[in-house]
Amino acid sequence: MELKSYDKYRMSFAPPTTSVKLVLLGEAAVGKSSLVLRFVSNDFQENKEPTIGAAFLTQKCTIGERTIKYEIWDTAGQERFASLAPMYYRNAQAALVVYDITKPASFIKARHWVKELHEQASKDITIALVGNKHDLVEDDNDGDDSSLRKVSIEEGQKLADEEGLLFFETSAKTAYNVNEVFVGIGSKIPEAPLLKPQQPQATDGRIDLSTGTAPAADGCAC
Amino acid sequence: MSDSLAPSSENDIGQSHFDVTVVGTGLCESIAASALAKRGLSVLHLDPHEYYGDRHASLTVDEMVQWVNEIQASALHQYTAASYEFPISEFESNLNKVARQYALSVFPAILPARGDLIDTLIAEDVGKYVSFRLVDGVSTYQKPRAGELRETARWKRVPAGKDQIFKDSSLSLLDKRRLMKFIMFASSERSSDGWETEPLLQGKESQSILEFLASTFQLSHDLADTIAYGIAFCTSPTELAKPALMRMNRYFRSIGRYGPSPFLVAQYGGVGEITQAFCRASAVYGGMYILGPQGKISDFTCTPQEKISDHSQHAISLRIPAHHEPVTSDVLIDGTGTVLEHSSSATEGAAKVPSQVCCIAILSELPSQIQTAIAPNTTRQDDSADPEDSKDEQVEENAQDVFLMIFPPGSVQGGSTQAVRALFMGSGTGSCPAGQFVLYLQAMAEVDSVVPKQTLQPYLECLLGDVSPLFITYYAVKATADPLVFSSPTTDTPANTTPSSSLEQGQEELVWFEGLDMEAHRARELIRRGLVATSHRTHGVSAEED
Ligand SMILES: Cc1cc2nc3c(=O)[nH]c(=O)nc-3n(C[C@H](O)[C@H](O)[C@H](O)COP(=O)(O)OP(=O)(O)OC[C@H]3O[C@@H](n4cnc5c(N)ncnc54)[C@H](O)[C@@H]3O)c2cc1C
Ligand SMILES: Nc1nc2c(ncn2[C@@H]2O[C@H](COP(=O)(O)OP(=O)(O)OP(=O)(O)O)[C@@H](O)[C@H]2O)c(=O)[nH]1
Ligand SMILES: [Mg+2]
Repeated sequence: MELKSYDKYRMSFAPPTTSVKLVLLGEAAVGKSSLVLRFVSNDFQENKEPTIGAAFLTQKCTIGERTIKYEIWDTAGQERFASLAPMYYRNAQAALVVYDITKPASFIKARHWVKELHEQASKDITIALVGNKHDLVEDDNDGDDSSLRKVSIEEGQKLADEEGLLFFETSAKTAYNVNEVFVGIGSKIPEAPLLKPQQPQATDGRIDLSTGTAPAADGCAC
Repeated sequence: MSDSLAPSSENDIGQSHFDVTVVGTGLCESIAASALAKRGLSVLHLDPHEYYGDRHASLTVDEMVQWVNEIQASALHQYTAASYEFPISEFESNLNKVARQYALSVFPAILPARGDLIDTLIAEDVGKYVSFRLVDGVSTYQKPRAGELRETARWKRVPAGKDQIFKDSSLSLLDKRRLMKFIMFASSERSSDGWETEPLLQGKESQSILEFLASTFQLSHDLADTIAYGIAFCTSPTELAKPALMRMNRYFRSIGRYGPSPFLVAQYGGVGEITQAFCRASAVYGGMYILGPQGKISDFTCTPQEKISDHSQHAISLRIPAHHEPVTSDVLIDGTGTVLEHSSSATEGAAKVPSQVCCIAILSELPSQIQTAIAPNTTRQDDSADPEDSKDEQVEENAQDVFLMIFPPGSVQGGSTQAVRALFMGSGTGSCPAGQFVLYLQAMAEVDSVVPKQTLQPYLECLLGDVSPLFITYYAVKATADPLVFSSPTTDTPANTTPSSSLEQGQEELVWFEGLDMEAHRARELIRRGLVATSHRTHGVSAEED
């Protein structure tokens, strides 16, 4: 709560912070939550449990003159049985579609999510395709048959080019390229705030239910 | 519990027991699912449809067409008399490209800024998942007086609060004073039974609100109408004073909480988003979600207490295609009335005749009648407005994205004898593409014959003039039945009918007006029942009740 009001205070004096809803998509265990954990807390857990209980994280990211406040939505497991609620994508300005470069099935799934996003999400959404767990193939020589790598950089890059996505290979474990993903997305987000200035009661264009004023203060406006 | 969430493979959801199974993703079931999951119970949440929300869903146009087809095939027992039309054929032929840009609510409702649902959204911290916006205004349609031309019927903007009353140039000074006096009376805070002892109501128990406003506050006929239909949302002129006053009390106390309007709507199709938000909260606490045919229940059994031999046995057993073996639960909550085909609400108590007729229209231009209705202060042109005022209005004009239009009884020729409501949403609500609009109309069903189109036609004609909608659908709705709860009562449960019973209808008087708050109220009872049914298994989770 205190943080929030501090944010508001800041926002009214500092250069405007762009608030960006970012959603994560990808097969189970590809490292979605680990990427967020690395980005938000610079931390990694070796045997991270499947996500339950992580809802909504925020993290600021400074890119040149601008500050972007990411509002990060993790999937919470609803996608497991193809039951991801459309509200999850609604109004998302950015999406990370994550796959595991050692799991070909997760790349097929990634294609599916990209298609889904193009159909369902807002037209101007910025999507980054992320091949995670790069640390597992770090010492590989190309063409080595015993390599753990099952999805080549070229395949990833090709899909990204076809669909107009940003593309990164990352490791949540070693932090390789993780910040770059969020900075890369941030610099593609349009500068102009999408807020409607006519709605003075709303911050970031939305009403925060918990900060409604007390009844005694202004009650019925009479 | 968490280790059980193994990656899904064919026919295996990773666990075969859930403390609670919930069927249907309507609002009260979703609130209950999230509350029970948050309290540490394992929750399996199913919905036979591919979309979230059940009777509260927000649908895309193609989903809406399917939904109507389902009603026509008698597969959705809460609805009848459904139909749709594509008056503009290009729209239909382009449908697969554009259908998903729409979010049409089958339960178009507005949310008062104070009430059970807002409280629940805040208490469960679910409001953060939903974008809300204020309703920009309410207008009532005023019947032309005898001798006046039909064309002079006008829209009267319902003043929200003190400021707008002062500015309203259509009111005389005396009117303003009386109105302020009434608002002071109606908006003062009181306990829920404060109205019982209200001196001004003594001996007037059988007075209609219209009579009450005229006799006790000397309000003019026009003002009393505006108040009764535009603020108390009465449907008929005979509605009694007390319940109308209770609603107005809430209305006035809702003003100012989030802004000048007492009402909110959720972006992107309304209540459908709210149900999804609760489902997400439930999933965040570990609730498992299966929508569509994979979660369709068969072989449902509910074993009575005395047949349960040991504690490892569970009251509920069922099969779903998603899982290779039977799934057990201690309690099952069914909001769809479909789990037990024959004891479904189709045969139980609740009203079986439609109570309301509705229509949803997509418009590609703003009809002039609606334009007049939503323009600020349209009744009389205020020539004397100072520059300060007109600047205010300018700002207001830009933001008319959510608007209620009320037709008092008999205000439209050939129309209903009860009030008819229209809810208008622009693209700013995220429910349609830019430059388009969604119009919802709702009337009470006729007693003798339910033909939604016939009842609503005069109002559509009035509002649309010669504008053809891109798409329009009509349907009739029956009252929502309370969800069924199946469980074996444990020893500490109050003697209750087993295996199934409908929820008690307590306190309804307080909440009947707002369908959404009613759902929050229903959810409370579901949560209580869920906790009681699982209390013998969970430690530290008690079915506390006051
Ligand atoms: C144009 C329009 C304006 C509205 N304005 C308001 C308003 O100002 N305030 C407000 O609280 N609500 C409003 N709603 C009404 C909302 O849709 C619910 O009907 C209402 O909240 C429940 O009212 P009730 O309990 O008085 O209805 P009743 O007729 O007493 O109850 C009918 C029952 O049917 C169910 N029901 C009602 N409408 C639908 C529906 N569309 N689909 C499925 N089930 C339904 C309700 O759960 C209710 O139990 C409006 C709806 C429309 C279309
Ligand atoms: N070696 C390696 N392991 C990783 C990396 N990222 C994640 N992991 C591991 O992969 C497993 C799954 O990671 P999560 O972050 O839980 O994956 P998720 O996509 O959030 O999974 P769900 O929440 O189940 O959908 C965990 O055991 C992580 O420790 C990485 O970059 N390298
Ligand atoms: Mg995760």
